[in-house]
Amino acid sequence: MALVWVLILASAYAGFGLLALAMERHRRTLLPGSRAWTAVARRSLRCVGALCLLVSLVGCVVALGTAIGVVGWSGVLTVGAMAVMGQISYREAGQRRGHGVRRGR
Amino acid sequence: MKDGFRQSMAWLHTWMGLVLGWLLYFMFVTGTAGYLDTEIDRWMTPEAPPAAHGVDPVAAARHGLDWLGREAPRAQSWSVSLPVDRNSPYLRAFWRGEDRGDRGRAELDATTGAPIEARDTGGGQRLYRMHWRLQYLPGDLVAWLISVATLFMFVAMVTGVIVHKKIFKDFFTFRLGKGQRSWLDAHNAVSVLSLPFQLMITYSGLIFMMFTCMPLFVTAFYGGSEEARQRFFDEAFSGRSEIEAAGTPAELTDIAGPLARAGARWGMDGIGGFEIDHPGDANARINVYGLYTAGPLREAPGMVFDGVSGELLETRHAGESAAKATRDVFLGLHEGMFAGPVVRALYLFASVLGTAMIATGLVLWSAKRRQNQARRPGGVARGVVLVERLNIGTVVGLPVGIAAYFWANRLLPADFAARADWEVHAMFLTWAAMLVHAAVRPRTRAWIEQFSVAAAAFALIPVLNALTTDRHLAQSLPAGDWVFAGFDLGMLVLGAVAGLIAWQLATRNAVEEGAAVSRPGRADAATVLATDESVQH
Repeated sequence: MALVWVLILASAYAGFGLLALAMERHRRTLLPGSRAWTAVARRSLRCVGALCLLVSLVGCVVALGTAIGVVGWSGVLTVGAMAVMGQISYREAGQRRGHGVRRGR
Repeated sequence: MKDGFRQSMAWLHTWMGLVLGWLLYFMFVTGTAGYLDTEIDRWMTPEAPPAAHGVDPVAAARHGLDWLGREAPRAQSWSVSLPVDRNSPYLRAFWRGEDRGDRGRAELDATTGAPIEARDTGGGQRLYRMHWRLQYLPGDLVAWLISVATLFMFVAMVTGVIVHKKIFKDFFTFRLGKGQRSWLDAHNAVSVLSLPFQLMITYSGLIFMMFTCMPLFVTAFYGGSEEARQRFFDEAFSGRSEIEAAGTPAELTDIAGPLARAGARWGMDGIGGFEIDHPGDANARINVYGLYTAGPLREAPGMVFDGVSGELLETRHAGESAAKATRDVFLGLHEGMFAGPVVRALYLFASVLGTAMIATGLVLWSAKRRQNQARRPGGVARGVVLVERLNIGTVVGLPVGIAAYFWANRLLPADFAARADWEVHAMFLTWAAMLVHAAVRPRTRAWIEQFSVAAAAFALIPVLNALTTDRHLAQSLPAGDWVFAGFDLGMLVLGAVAGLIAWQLATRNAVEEGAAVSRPGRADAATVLATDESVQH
């Protein structure tokens, strides 16, 4: 059971991570020095990201049944998206510091 | 035109959010605590034994009936609820007499039938009750206040989505250390990422208040009098067959029979409890009900038995009426009683984000105005100052008040008169003191000091618990008593978070003051909380 939840949370996190990675601004933060995605690459990232979110939905339904599973999934999405957001803003802050930009400017 | 629409929606969002913002914050904080109501109950009654689930329902039911037979043999109705899950940790017995005030209840040990003795406390239930009933105010007024606040919340939510221009582009955006911009990012992030929960909780909150908001639907069919309304509620919600007592005594049938019948249909662990109308009368009725918490549909199936012959008279399914089932699902989603540990944790997380949504919105309102007005000749408007003070005294002051509620539970003597009430008074007196403090201290100092007080008030609760009970962390952790351990650890986390914020604010404030000395001409809005100490003086 615990393993199912690890899988559910991991796939929600991975899903949002890929969706964020497909966005130009976050790509620069998460993969500094990488080149801009081609249209195909971007679309694939989005598709796989969405697929991961779908996997977490299926996981929730398996773990909790349909009725409660959908409820749980919306909570899982919140956790996954918050984790990705936190990671991005942590990276951003670190990079700004790294470039000699003082915090609060 | 489009911009005009967006602007008017922004206006609506700003003011709907502000006017009842502090009340909404109160509702969110107490509602969040409500998701842990039975856990808080348990912590606040350390004498009581751990929850005992998985007991034989028939034996437990007999214990309940024994107590009722001793306490109230002539009651109009008896009711026994079984310890089935987290929501009902103990066997409970309840009776009601002819008169409205004539009633009594007890929590019983499900294996021995002995009443559980514990200190007089409001517990988590009282805290949760404040979520919808507030405190010190008449019920009718509160019903309207809550309804209007919920409606405002709903409007603020919908308009918030409309005015958020880059809802997808800024989905993952939270830029730290950019003053007002950071507050906006934070407000957007917590709101957007938990939007499904926030929409659900607000809309279902409105459904809770539907008969207050739209009383005419009842009036149109039943009439406007108080009795007529009561008749509507009885018919729509009680689900019990109304039958008068015959007046001839008759012996009650063995409860094992009806329970076995119900258990054959729902499983023995699917029985939530039962009610008996006119016990000891020839017209006695036994109404056995299933679980309200099996899923989001907050309604249980039921079976009505003749109380003397034990014959099955009527079977009721959950969700027989589609309209009522729709309502029950929304109420069930709102209360989340069906949620197991993981889903409950998710509920808790989302409602903490909701609380943060209100708090960041309130702070953003004042931060924006202070930044715009700081360079004006007249200085910052008095209304903005008022909002700032209320923000400090509520955003931090209210949680400190709740900490005081827990402190009072441990510190008030056991024989203190009206002990449970004074726990609540302690909470509100503390909150009032925090508001006064916020009003008289310089703004940035007030934030720092209040967060420091909050840090101490929460972090010391496990210490207080260790000094006043045996169920401290050194005992609860090895024993695997996760309710006590979880509560104490949760308090430590809250204290640590508050302490971290206080420390951050203090460091930043020191930096800002240094900067203000070296560059006196610059009205820097880098950090909202730590900015205008220099402007103020």
